[in-house]
Amino acid sequence: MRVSLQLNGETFSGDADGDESLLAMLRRHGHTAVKEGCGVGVCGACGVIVGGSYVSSCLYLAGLADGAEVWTAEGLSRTDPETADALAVAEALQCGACSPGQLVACWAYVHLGPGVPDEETIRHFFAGNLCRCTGYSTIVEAVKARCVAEGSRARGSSA
Amino acid sequence: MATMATIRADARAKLAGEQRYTSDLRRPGMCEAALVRSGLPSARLVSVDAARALGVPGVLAVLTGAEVGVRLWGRMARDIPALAVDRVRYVGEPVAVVIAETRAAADRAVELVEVDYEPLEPVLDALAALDPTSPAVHEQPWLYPSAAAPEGSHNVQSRIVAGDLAATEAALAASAHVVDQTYTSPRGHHGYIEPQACVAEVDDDGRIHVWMTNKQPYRLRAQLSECLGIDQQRIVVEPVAIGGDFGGKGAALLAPICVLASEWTRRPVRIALHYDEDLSATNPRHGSRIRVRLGSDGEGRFSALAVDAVFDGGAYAGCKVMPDVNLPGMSEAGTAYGLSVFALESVVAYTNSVPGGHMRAPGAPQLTFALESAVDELAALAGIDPVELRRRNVLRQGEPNLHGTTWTECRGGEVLEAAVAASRRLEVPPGWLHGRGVALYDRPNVPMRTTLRLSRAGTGDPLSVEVPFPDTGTGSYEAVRAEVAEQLGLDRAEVVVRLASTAELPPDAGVGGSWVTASALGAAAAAARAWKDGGGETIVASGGAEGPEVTSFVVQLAQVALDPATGAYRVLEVLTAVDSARVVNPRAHQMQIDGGAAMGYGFASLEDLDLEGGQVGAGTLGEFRIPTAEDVPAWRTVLVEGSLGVEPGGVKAIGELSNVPTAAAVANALADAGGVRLRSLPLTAEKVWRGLIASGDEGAAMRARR
Amino acid sequence: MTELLRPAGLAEALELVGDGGLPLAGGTAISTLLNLRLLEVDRLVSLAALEELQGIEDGPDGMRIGASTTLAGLAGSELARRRLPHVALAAGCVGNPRVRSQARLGGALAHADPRQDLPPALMVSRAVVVCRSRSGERTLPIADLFRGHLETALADDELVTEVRLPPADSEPGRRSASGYLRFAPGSASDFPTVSVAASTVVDEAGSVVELALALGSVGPVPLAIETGGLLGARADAALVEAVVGLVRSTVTPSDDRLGSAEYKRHVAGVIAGRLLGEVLGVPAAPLGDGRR
Repeated sequence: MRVSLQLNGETFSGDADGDESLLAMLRRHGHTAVKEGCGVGVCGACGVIVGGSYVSSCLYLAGLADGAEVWTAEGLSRTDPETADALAVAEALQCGACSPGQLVACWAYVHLGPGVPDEETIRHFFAGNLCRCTGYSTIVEAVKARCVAEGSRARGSSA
Repeated sequence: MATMATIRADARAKLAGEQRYTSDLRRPGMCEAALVRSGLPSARLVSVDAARALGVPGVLAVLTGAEVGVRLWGRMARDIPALAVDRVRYVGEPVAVVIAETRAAADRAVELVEVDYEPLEPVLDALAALDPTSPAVHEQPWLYPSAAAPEGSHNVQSRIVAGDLAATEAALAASAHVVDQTYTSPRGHHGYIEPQACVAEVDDDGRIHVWMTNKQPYRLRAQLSECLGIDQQRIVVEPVAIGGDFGGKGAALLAPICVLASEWTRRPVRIALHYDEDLSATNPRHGSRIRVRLGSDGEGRFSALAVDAVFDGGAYAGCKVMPDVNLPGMSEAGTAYGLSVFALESVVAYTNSVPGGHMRAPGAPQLTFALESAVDELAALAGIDPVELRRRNVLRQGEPNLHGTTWTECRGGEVLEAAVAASRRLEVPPGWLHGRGVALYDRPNVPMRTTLRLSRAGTGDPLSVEVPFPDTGTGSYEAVRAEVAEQLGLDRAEVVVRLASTAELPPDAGVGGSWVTASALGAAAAAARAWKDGGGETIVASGGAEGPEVTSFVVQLAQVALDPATGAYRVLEVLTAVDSARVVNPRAHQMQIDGGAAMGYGFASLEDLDLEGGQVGAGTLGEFRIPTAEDVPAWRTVLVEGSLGVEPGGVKAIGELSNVPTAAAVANALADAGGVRLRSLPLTAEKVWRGLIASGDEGAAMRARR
Repeated sequence: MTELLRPAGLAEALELVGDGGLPLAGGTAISTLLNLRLLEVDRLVSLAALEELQGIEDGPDGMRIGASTTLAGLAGSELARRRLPHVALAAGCVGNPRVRSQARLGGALAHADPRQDLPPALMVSRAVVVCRSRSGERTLPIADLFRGHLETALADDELVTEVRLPPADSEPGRRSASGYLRFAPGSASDFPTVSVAASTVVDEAGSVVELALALGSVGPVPLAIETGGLLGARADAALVEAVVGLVRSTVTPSDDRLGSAEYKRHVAGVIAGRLLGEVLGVPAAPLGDGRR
């Protein structure tokens, strides 16, 4: 089937089998910012935003994204450089295999909710983003910092 | 906190997903391959029928062992066939490779390859395998190239002995207190996020180019050369980033098959494993069964140590790298203490299960769980506080360790005291029990050398530093960048570090043994000197760790809250105190400690590949649970600064320390909390609950029964 | 080649499923099987976007939750959190944020994995499942939907279209309370070793007039405990003790990687007692997991 969607703000059109995941289709077409990890939705390396919803692209059929707006780490790091900055400054990465997924998760946490700089809430949300390198402290710290920055900006703009 | 000026050079590309890993690569005309794997732990391979598979649209070829012949590979002992020929020896062993235009077609065709087996009786347990009446996994394993199997032995991959057994027996017999216990740990997977993958391509000149999830490119080249009978100069291992290693990415694994598939099709071929294949059929940490006998005098001074270890090596020995084909961590048995009478035996057995490989301080986490649990058991027997017992026995400055090494500097006592001084008792919920456990470990730094090439394309271009070791993410490239910049008085932004192909630099050991930063800093100093002398010409310079020989002590204190009614517990905190010299990048250093402790916690409490009938039971990361951000304890670190580093960088290794003692610290904390001594990993809530019921503590047992 | 169909309405979906298409709700379970190369399918019929299967509403006849409500939508719904806090809580425990924003209520029920969080919570609220096929509609008490491990009473051509819940107890002087507790002592992200949901109504005199208890992970299907014999008893520690015994004698767990049958039976009693103590306001051991 033909799948047409808005990928990171640009028109994308590609073929996909009906049982092909969005992950497989995007990667087959060279969009490798979406990483393949566990294949069962638990590691978060393939996290994307589809139609405003934060999902695992390995569990999301490509055909269901037809007509939708899809954002990956490639696009979100461009449109929301503050999220990428927060993770980079906190050095919340090592090998990088989970990093695009962590960035998408951070974006989702800040923009789709919960968005609060609360340690326990962040850790519960990020339980879906495995990282074997860092021990998680720097990631949690980066998300907190990003939330605080977003919060102060929101307060500033409403004032 | 990093400033914008010192952000890791790789940070933005990795976060944006621009960093290319092996499975991200696409070569022109590339096809995809998938493996048909054995469904039986031991069988004669009668026939492979690919007719139906070849009918799947897009399928190009199906190769079997019969077609490619016996092609053995190994990191040391060369006993692993690229594709099984005549025999399969574990569930998951590659039997055939399907090459297709797409991965989906290859995957579909894999299901349609019909393999006819004649089942044989498997041997699935390491101890059972050593019984001479058990089925032999290999007929004459000592005949494999570089094998360590003793001639005439039965299912032995490697057997090493050290020390003096007679003297140890005598000293134990004369000891006031003796612990004699056996500890076990299961197979475990590295849990890297990037599954193993390989791309191979033959160019017009017949040169073979390989991109792989492999941290030792020159050794990979050598493994391929030996396996396929191809001159090393015809093989180029190309640069690519690695998405997590932890010891799991040193073996050739997919590479020989991938090269054969590429030669067969005359097209580039990619094999990218699905994670479920990676869990069940790569090279996990060895399961262990370790008997420890530790004696002391009446005051708790250690008199003798005997360690008998049996590791489950799986069906092949070839994923281990040491010349003795054993686990290097075994040489660290007892070195942290003032002990001279010891005996060590370490046997790695062949079984019909997935071949065992190296994982972060190979052998040491298993050994240290056993040894440091036994130290606490001795403390209980002698009626001495566990910290005090270690205080009395930890290796002192000027005292030779049991191998006869006297370190220039020996700071075990200081590290222990620093840990204890920093520890604060944490609160537990009402009705829950509190426990604190301690464990310590020392690991010598491995001195290595490496090579850098410095060049500048033109004035105004950045200084290019090419290195022979891949980036596994630890921050080693940033250390090189910072060091070269500093030595040459450049801004860090003016320096670019990248991996060279194996065609460009002399052979190198690659990544391993926590040696990279020390050796790279040595090479950086040499390269900077040569660059200054060279007047801007490209230079290639080697250098490395120049001594002194040092060891690093690490002490962990774990605190737990234990629910006596269910056996559930939370590890509230893991405090790590560590010998620390010059720290090049404090963040990266800290993440080695935190990430290591997280891995140690997973080993302690969660991870079990769980073999069932020879098959790995935990088939996905949904079942092989590694710790999440929500699961991990709080980390605390005490850097015991001022230690003597390895020159010229003045640094000490950090990568394989904090993951080692955690399991014992948690086990000791559970014993402290509930009187439950668990000797089998992982330390599940159910085991704790059963322990509480069986324990002598009436109150705890009563609560556990309610 | 697999065909993926996206019907525009429920009627069309029912026809496609009636003709042998495999219904796809959120798709998390089916995609997992596809990724593990354990499923081959000719035709998938996506239900996620169907207008008729959306929405959470409350009215005098009770509550209606559309089968294509996402678990995140259920967990975050103001209405669900007020009316069915234990259901919202259970929905928020499933998997991770991505799974919760993709997986649907109907799919979760049709999957019938006894380790799931939602079924016990819905069972204690006397949920009724509405099932439709092109030949008609029927309703089933939720407990009757589950027939065995991954087996339901749904016919091949039948879909879950919505879940209905009876109106809230509004008799004056009565106190209603409910809760959900999962026991996952390894990784919090794992399936629960045992889970329990409870819903109670206590009258002015302190007697229990309604008592519903259901457990997950303790047998091939989510299990409701028959508590009729305890109605009218005082809401006190003795009642909690009686329920603990009842739970342990009723559950039929089996050995798996999450624990032995013996352990699950023991723990089922402990956490049922703790949850009931909390719900009834009877002092018992704390619910906490030791996290401070």
